[in-house]
Amino acid sequence: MDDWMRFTIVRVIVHAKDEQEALIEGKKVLAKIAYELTVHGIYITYEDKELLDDFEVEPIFPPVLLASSPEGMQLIEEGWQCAVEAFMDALEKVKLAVRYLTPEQIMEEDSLGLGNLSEEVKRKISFPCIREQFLEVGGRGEDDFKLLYFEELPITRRRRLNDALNPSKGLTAYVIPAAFPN
Amino acid sequence: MHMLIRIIVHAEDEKKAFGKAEKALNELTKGEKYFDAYSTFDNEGTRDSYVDWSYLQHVMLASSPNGKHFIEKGWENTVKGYMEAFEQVKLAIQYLSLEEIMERKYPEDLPEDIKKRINILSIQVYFDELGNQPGHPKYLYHDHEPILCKTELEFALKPAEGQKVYVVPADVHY
Repeated sequence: MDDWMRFTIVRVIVHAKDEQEALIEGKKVLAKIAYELTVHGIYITYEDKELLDDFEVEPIFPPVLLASSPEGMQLIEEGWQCAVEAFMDALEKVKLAVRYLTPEQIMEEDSLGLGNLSEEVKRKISFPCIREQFLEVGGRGEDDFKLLYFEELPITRRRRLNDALNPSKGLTAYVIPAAFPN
Repeated sequence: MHMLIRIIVHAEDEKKAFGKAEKALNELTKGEKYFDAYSTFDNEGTRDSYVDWSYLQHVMLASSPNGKHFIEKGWENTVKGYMEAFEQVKLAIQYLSLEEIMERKYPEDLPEDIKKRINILSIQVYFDELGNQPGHPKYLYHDHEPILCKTELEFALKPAEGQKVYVVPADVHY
């Protein structure tokens, strides 16, 4: 089976002096977010040969990448695109909800008033879970597994991505990929 | 910031009700995700606040005059907060692009009077406030679950057999 289907690849950006320090810092972040993202808190970094074997993870990434290397940039870009898409998708649902429903209907997540809406709109609005979509736009959403992190928080804004990619003097931005079993 | 929330619990007596509410409050402050601290009204310290909360007891029957009034106020505040957030979300959708919401910035050509109506720095917070998680402006909780709508409030106020409905006030920080 394709690795991408069995695992979600989370990417953590860290600022560090060297690769070794980057890996230590990255693993600290991963340990923390793993318990928020998964029930068992399991994640597999690419230097852990034993775990890679146990979970049959293809070792397709190096354990640490320079954020400015072509492979590092690609990993970060994919994570960023995923955040943008999730945001766009949720905002679209919120827009439709605000356009077609009253505040009371959204508050109650009450489908009674939906009689005159087309099936297509109903499906697009994600009723009756519309209030979850507001969280996705606000940044507190939990439904979507975020792929890109900096300092234990998912990157959901361009400005923050820029901060993550611009370390202070003497430090370098690295990216640590980790596989989370789906 | 602080807010005064109401924990509605079903229990056999006051003591058990308060214990259940404390459990809910621990859940709501766990990991400082929704609130980072709470204080209940069973100690004098809480009463030293600048707001007159003298009518509050640390546990009240939901059906008592004070309990009823306290729950009603909580619901009014929840609706008020919801409508304020809704207004901001509506404005954001009308005037801001996806990128502008994400980056919290006004479009360059937005007229001043509209800029004044949009709280751009907190704009994403208003989306969160309309969501289904605990936190401001949800003033009422059934155990640790936020009461999001009237139906949920009605449900929370109906006790199971042999139990009574209590309300426990708590000052929370976020």
